[in-house]
Amino acid sequence: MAGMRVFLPANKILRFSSLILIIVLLILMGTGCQLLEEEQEIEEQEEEFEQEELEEEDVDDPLGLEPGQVVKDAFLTLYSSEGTTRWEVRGEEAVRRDEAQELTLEPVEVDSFLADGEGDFPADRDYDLTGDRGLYLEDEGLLTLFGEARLESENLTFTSADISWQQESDRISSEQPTEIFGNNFTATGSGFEAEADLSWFHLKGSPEERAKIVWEEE
Amino acid sequence: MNKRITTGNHLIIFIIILIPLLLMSLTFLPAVTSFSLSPATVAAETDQEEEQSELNEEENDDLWEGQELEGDDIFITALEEEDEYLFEVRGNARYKSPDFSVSGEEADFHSLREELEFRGEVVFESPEIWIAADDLFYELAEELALFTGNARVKYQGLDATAAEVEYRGLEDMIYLLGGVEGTRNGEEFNSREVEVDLQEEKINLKGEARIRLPGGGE
Repeated sequence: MAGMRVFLPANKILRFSSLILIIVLLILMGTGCQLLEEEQEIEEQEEEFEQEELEEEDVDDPLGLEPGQVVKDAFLTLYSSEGTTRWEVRGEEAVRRDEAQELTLEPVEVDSFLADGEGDFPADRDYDLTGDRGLYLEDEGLLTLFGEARLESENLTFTSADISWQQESDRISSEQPTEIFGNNFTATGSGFEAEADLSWFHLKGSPEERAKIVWEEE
Repeated sequence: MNKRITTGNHLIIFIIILIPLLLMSLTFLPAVTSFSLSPATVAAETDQEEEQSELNEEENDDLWEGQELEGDDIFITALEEEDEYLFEVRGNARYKSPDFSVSGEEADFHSLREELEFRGEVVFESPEIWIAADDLFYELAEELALFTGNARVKYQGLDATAAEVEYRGLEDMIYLLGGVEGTRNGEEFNSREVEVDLQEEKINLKGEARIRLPGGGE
């Protein structure tokens, strides 16, 4: 056997070469598709990024959004009709709802500023409000904070399931059970209505829950 | 002769020394007086005043602790003094303290003046006494209450009506004033005034008192 040479037939060589070529082509096709997919993903990511950039440009005027458009870190400044109260409203996310003049903010925070006798606003807020969600009805000039709504001033804290501010009347109110905490008392009622400067408020009672104030140790 | 001259000289010297001394004392008297109000003294007095004010505030806090005010509606107005309010209860007003309770159609409670006012079918109840009237004005810190209009008092064997009733809590005294009529231990009587000593548990009829005995005699 030594020194014997084995010769493959030409057709076998051709078949073997074709098989190798097909495998190589398949590998190349697969790699190309993957590259295309990756390129598509990158393009999509770039589009999303551009969209976010566009949205961020609009945050100072969430009311100018298109219906359904979402805004991150929205900021809205509202004034009472007489211009004596300014509410600076912030939402981590704001959405313009359909064609209606509605804007939802989630969660929502408000800094409230009260003008002095000359119409000037202070540098520091007078009180603040927080809520799980906010709904601003532009047509009605009504902002409502929902879910664990809380108003906190230096001497008073209001808590309720919702708290609304009407720009026309410049009054804050709720029709839900309310607790008001003073420095040495707790007031409870079925709702409340207050002047925006908190100089006066009406604690409402109902047959189920009478308006009540309990004084306690500071 | 020399002796007389010497005495005269002494007198002149004495006058010369005395007059400036008098003038100096008159000049420095106000300074001495004002020196007694030196900064240290003023500071000490201010501290005393502050301590007294803090004590009063603590007493004030104690005064309110455990008290309740309720009604159909409560209107709360912030007073100029920080953390002081006027509470106006409208409809089925009720005030409760650890010692007594008062009910009426409406009530006003001024936290700064420490005054409580009830109007309309007022009823005051404590463990030992019951008083009804049209109106009540109560100075809480002084424990001084004035019931006016159709006043009626029930205390132990006494059940009497009067034009007005004065309750002095610090003295443990009740005075029924003007046209007092009623019964005392089953005996009918009328008088101009009745004194009730809550400490001694004594009832004294005063001023043209007449008692109608059960047999018909006076």
